[in-house]
Parts: sequence; C-alpha cells; structure tokens
Amino acid sequence: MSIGTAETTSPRSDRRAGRTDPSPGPAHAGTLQLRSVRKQYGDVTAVEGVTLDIAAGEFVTLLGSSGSGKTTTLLMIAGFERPTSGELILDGRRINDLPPHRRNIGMMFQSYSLFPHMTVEQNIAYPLKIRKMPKREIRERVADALELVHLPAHGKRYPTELSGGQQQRIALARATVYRPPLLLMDEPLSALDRRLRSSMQEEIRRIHRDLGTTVVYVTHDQEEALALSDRIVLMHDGAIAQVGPPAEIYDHPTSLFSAGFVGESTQLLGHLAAASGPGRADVVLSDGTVVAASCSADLAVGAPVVICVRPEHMSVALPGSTAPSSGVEMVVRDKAFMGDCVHMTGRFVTGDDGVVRIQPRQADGLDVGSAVVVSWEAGNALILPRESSQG
Amino acid sequence: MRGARAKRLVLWVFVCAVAAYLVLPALVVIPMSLNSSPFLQFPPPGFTTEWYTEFFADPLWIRALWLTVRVAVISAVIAVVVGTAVAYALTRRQVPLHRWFDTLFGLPIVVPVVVYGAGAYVLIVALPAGMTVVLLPLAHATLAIPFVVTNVRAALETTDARLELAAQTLGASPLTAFRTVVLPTIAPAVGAGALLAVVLSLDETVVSLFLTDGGTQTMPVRMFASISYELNPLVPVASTVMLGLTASAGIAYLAIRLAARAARRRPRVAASS
Repeated sequence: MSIGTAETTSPRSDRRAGRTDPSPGPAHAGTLQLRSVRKQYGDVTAVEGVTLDIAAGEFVTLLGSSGSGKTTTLLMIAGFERPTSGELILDGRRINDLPPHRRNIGMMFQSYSLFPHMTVEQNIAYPLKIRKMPKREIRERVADALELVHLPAHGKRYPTELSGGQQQRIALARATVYRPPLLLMDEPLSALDRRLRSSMQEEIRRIHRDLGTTVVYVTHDQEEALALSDRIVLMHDGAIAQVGPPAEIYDHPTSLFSAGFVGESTQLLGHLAAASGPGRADVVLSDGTVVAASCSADLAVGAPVVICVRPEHMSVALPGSTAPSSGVEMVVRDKAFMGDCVHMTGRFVTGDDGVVRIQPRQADGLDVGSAVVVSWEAGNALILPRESSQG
Repeated sequence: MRGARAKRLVLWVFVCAVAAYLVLPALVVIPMSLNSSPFLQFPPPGFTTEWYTEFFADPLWIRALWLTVRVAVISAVIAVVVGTAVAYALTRRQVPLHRWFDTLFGLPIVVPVVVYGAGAYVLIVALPAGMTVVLLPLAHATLAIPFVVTNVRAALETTDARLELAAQTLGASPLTAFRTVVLPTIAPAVGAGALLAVVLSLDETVVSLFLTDGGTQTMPVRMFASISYELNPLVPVASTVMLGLTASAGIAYLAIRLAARAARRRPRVAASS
C-alpha cells in the first residue's frame, strides 16, 4: 500500500482511539506471559516448558516446523487446548481455566473460517452482536473495520464471492473489530499465492501499527517470520530453541538448528584448533585447512564444531587469481540466475556442501563443474558447537 | 445424430415405463376413491364424492388421521433432536467407542421391524394402559433416527469444524456457536431429515400394529383393520388422503433441497457476473 493510504487511515485510527471501548482494560493491555507451559498427550510431550514474556503491542512469531509445538502453544493461548502444567497469564490474570469465548482474544485461522451463510458485514458484526453492542455502534464499527482493511464496498457480499486475499482481510477485520488486546494468527497466509502473501504481509504490518494490538503469529515460513516480527521465538521439538529480534536470530544463531532453520547457510565441519584473538578462533576443517572464524560460545580446544556462513557473505574467485589466502576450494554443482543475484551450490574439498550468493557479474566464467575458491571474512563465519543429534 | 436421438427416445420411454411401474399402483387409489360402486368394482361404473363426505364425517377415521399426523410430527421432532445431537457428537467430538455407536444408530435399519414391533409389544404390555400415545412416537423416532443421523452427518462432514472455533474466539459460547454458525449451515440436512422422519412415521404399519389397540389406531392400522372384515369404499379415500400427506412432505423435501442448492450456487453466480 502507498504512503497515501497510510496517511488517510491514521486520522481514522485516532478517532477510533477516542471512542469508548466496551471492555476497557489497563492502559497497556495485551501483555502475555507463559510460565513453564507444558502439554502432554499420553506419552508424547508436544510442548515442553515454554516460558515467554510478551509485551503489549509486540509482534511475536512462533516459528518452527510441524511438530515443533508452535500450533499447540497457540491453541493453549486461545483456550482450545489445556496446558498439562504451567501458567498462561494475560494482562496479569491467569487464564488457564477460562474457556475460549471468555478470553477476549482475537484469532485468525489458516482457512479464514468466515461464516458462509453470513454476508461480510454480518461476519464482522458477529463478535459485536455477541457483545450486545447497540445497533448504531455496530454499524459504525463494521464500516470502520471494512475501511481498515481497504474493502469498504464489500459489506453486502458473501465470503465465497471474495478472493482468497479479500477473505483473509475480512477475517482480519472480524478478528480485530472488538479490539481484543491480543490477536493470534495461525499461518494465515499459507493458503495464498506468493505475490498476494507479500502484499498481505505489508497489510498485516500496517494494521498492527494502526491498532497497536499484541500479535502472536504462527508460521513455518522463516522469511515471513523475519519480515513481520518484532521478535521471533524459534521452536524445536516442543521447546524454545532461540528467542530474539529477526536480525539477531539471523546474524547470531546460538545453535546449529537456528542457523539451519532461519535463512540459508553453508556449514563446514571441523574441530576447534585454538583461540586466535578476542572472540576469534581457528578451526581445522576435515581436509586440514585452517580457517579463522568468530566464536561466542565457550568451547574447549579440540571440540567438534561447525562453521556457519551466510550465502551473501561469501565471495568466489577462480583459483590462481587474486583470491584471498583463506579460501576453500569448491566445485560448482549448480548455478541459478535469480535476477538480482546468482545462487550457486557446490561441494567443498572438505566434503561439505556450500551455498553461495554473488553478484551476477561476478559469476561470469564460473560454470557448473568448475573449481572455484570460496572465501569470507572471519567476522562473518560463526563457530557453533556440533550437536550430538547432528551426527 | 439420428442414432443419438433414437437412443434418447429409447431412454425416455424406458424412464417413463419405470416411473409408471413405480407410481401407478399408488395412483390407482385416486380413481378408486371416487368409485360409485361400494364394492371397489374395477373399472368404476361411475364417479362420486360420497365416500369422501362419509370419511370426513366419521369421527373414528378423523381420530385416526389426527393421531397419525400428531405421531408423525412428534416422532420427527424427537428424531431430529436426537439424530442431530448424535451426528454432531460422532463428527465433532472424540466419542469413546464411536465405531460401536456408529453401528448402534444404524441398527434400526437392519433389525427386522417385526422383531422390533414384537419387542415394543412386550414393553407396552408391561406398562400401564394408555401408553400407546407415548410409545408410538418414541418407536417411530427410533426408526427414523438413522436417516436423520446419516443426513446431518454428511452435512457436518462437509462444513469446516473450525467455523465453530472461530465463533468461540469471537466470544460465542459453544452453544451459541452451534446455534448461530453450525445450525444455519446444516439446516437443509436437518429439514430433510425431519421430512424423512415424517414420511416414515406416516405409513409405519408394522410397529404400529403391535402398539395400537381399538381405541388408538393410526391411519395405516385402521385401513388394514377395515379391509380385514369387508370391502370398505372408505379405504381408497384414506389411501388418497395418506398419499396427499406423503406427497406434500415429499414436495417440501424437494423444495428444501432445491433452496439449499440455490443458496449454495447464488454466490458463485454473482461472483462470475
């Protein structure tokens, strides 16, 4: 959306803020705390001791693959699943025993879940009618909500008459029209095509800014998580693997899992040789090459480690040219032109697989099958402990 | 082209023949009910509405007709409430042993109605007199429940279970969510189930024979009893009345189906325009 539309919506949101809320909460409503929340189904532990503090107005994404516990965690917050142990606290109040309809939480589902027998207006009015709001106010709020999602003329239509993106916006309008302090979103964009997804991401960011609602968003798509969130909660096997702002997760993964799940990376196996300065260490790769990398973890000399390098942090040169001495040789396996860059995969002499992203003009002459020297700055190569599960 | 037309003609003739075979024996009661001969002579020597006048003036026939309608409506209400609840539980809730319940609610279709009627008879003998009006609707409802369950279940299985969850997050209690979101979407199936139940009850004869006595006869029982002793010119009239009742239920059923289909198609038509 253009800057112009953002300007037209802000006075509306000011007006909205001046109106009396039917359920006034504390000034900074929407703080959520999870305290050692656990969920067990028989012998299977779906969520294992998740502790998390979410501030009012924060956009937090639970990121993970299927089975990571992210959806179970969301369903516990919504009230559709009951924690086996631990506490859920919304605005200072324990909500474990509250049924979903008494939590005053908004939720958007992957399948939109608009009521097919109601018009768009009736769908949006539904939560307001349940709250027994006066008819006139319902009409105004529905009109405001339709305007918020830029579909002011679609009120009389039925959900099936709308496109997927439009249905998603109506679902968003319906989930926020009663101004819940907390909005939950369960992979809301996964059913949309790629282009629509990125425009809906923008829409979600704008609406989050406009309403200031706390958002807990669930996705398996790391790009979506990076693009939308104030903070990402990376989940793995029912537990939190890492929590932090997107840039921190991307630049400073604390585990091999984080590095592998968020963004692409080349991972080279080796053993820690010696510390080579503050935050720096040398690593012996499997072919005996010694490379320098940055190290924040406390590791013993000789420990099995992995060096992680992001594809955009590597440069490629033909052997014998002005390549830096610290390079490692790689045979190009595949090369794909992406428009703004060239994506290259290959196999290092060490046996590790490599992913490299370079400028299109630097890729000239580097054909599939040719041997190249890949190099990087020590500061961009991260030493991570090798986990036993990683072999 | 000519071959195709000939094929279509043959098909039409065949369809009409089958339809006539199915419907004619039932429709024959209409001219017979107007037969001027009191001995059900065929072909009728002349036509008269005399038997109709007699039928509607006979308090016993009217009582039977009224009882039949009442039993049909009450049994349909029971069947719809129980059947919808069962269908909902079986599709939306994790019911323990749900396969067993599945089979259990299908049993009335399989168990011979005579056996069921005999069982009901044993029950009514054990109960104080005058329980017919209570037991008959219950028995008819039991026979209709499988049909309601099948209909409503099919509708529930094609609607998104998350609609109710969405309604609950929006503030609706589970009951309100069911009433405002689930019920409207399955209403055509519930209506169809209700009408099936009405039709089943209207002509249910076997169980009714076991459960009724001289004082409380439903139409089929009274018709059956009337021709056991003598040729009765009122029986074709009774048949025609029953035919009318069933036909109106059938037409209502069709109307519901068509309305539901139109409602489903309406958005798609509008979207393409």
